[in-house]
Amino acid sequence: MTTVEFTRQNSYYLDMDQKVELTWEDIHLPFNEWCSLDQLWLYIAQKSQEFAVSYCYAEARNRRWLQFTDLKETRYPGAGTLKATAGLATRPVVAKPTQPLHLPRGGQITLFVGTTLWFCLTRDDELLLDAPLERLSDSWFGPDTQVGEVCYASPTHARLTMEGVPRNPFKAVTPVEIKNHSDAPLVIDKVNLPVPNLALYLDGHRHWTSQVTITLTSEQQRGEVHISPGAPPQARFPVDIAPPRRKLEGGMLHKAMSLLLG
Amino acid sequence: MNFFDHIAIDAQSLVPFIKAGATLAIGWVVARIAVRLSRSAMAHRIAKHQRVLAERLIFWGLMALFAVSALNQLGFQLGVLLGAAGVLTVAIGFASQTSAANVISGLFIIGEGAITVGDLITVGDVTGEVLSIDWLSIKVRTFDNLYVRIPNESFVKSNVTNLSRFPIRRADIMIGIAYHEDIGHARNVLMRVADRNPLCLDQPEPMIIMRGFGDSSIDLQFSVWALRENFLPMRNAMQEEIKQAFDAAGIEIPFPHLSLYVGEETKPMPIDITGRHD
Repeated sequence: MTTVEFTRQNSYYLDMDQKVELTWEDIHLPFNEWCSLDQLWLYIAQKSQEFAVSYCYAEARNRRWLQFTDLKETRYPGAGTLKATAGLATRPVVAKPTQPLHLPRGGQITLFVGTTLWFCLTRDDELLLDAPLERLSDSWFGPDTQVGEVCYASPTHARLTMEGVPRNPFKAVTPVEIKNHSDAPLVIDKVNLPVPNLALYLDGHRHWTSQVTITLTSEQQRGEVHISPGAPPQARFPVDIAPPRRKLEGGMLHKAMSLLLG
Repeated sequence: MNFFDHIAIDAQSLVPFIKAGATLAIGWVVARIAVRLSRSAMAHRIAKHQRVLAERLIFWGLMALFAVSALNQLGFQLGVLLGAAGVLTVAIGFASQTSAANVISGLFIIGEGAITVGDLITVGDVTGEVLSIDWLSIKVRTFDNLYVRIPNESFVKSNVTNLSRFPIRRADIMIGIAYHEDIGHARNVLMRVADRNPLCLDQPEPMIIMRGFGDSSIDLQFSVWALRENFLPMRNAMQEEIKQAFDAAGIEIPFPHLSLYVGEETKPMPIDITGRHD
């Protein structure tokens, strides 16, 4: 029985008592009832020869009825077996530390940056839904409005040790090592993470991505991004979850500094 | 003598025609192959409209060479033909100055590369998608699905705005708030609206500019950025959300006020009803 009431102005109200909260560890997709993963709300209707997938975003609140808008619904004719997996962002993510970090000349630091996971729903290897677990804001990363890259924005605490990183089942942690080999100290205001080039791993209850090393050289303010193959050393018993969305030749990326760090 | 004996054609006299026909056929095949080879060679190097122009030049250039060769085989004297063609070109040039101007303008447009097929442009009062850039004109499809032909000459002389040149665009939303409202509070509400809308870019940051003190309101310009493809949905959503946020925060968006004075401020304006029309 559906728990959604359709009202005026494309607003919907969901009965909070009847939804199912999903977890990655034992992802059992319920049919014909609402379920949620972080801010993503999902309803999969199974019929004789089709699936209908509806989803929307809402922030969970402590009240019985939850209001949301922009419900997206698609029907997929044919039968099959549905499978849900976690994935990483489809675009680079701009991680913006809450406070800028100062890195002296010759110094190096490792930041732990959390990025939102994607919900990937497949039917016999056919991708039906590829959506983030929370609505991410679009962003632009570049020296000006002509040269740059379209990204997602993600505020982060950019912690320097793993102790303070909370166990969030809806985020993946990326260790980002930054080496300042340039002639001047560096103030890190934001970092452009090439998330589509990273692989995803699961270690117990925590998701990890490949480790990223950004090396800045004094040569015309350019930087090198190296993506380490395999899971990061912080993950003790990693299990492969998803390969990179985009393969990177040689695991290395050369970019202008203005396209890597802000 | 029988009339038909005079026009009897022996097989020998057909040979030049067959040769000329074969030359043209070979020319057509060679030109097609050359176009195909050039297409694969230029596939990702130049814009689509430049490729189309280059292909036409290659095809018709080769066809012209083979046509000259075919005429030669038919016994035409090329010197005389070229002289006649020169005179004809001058005559046609005088008669079709506008077309010639359009053709030359077309070459400048293609060479400059300011627009390409598929771009959204505004020329004068026409806004739409570029369908093709041709010898004489540029064809544009407007948003209400009209087919507009803009002569190349007038295109070159006009201010042209390419709306899809850069990946991001800025929307300037003009807002008026009442004089008794707190500008700082309105600023916070606007920034929160931008923060909550995922289509509104996080960077470059939204900006609020004081436009001045209007007749009935304090005028603000709220400048927000969006991806080119999300520009219209973002602008629409933002205006709706600003109205809702201002209503929720109790911020008044005033409409024009008109105050009437009759000389002395303290005395009310006298009104007499002098008659009634039933």
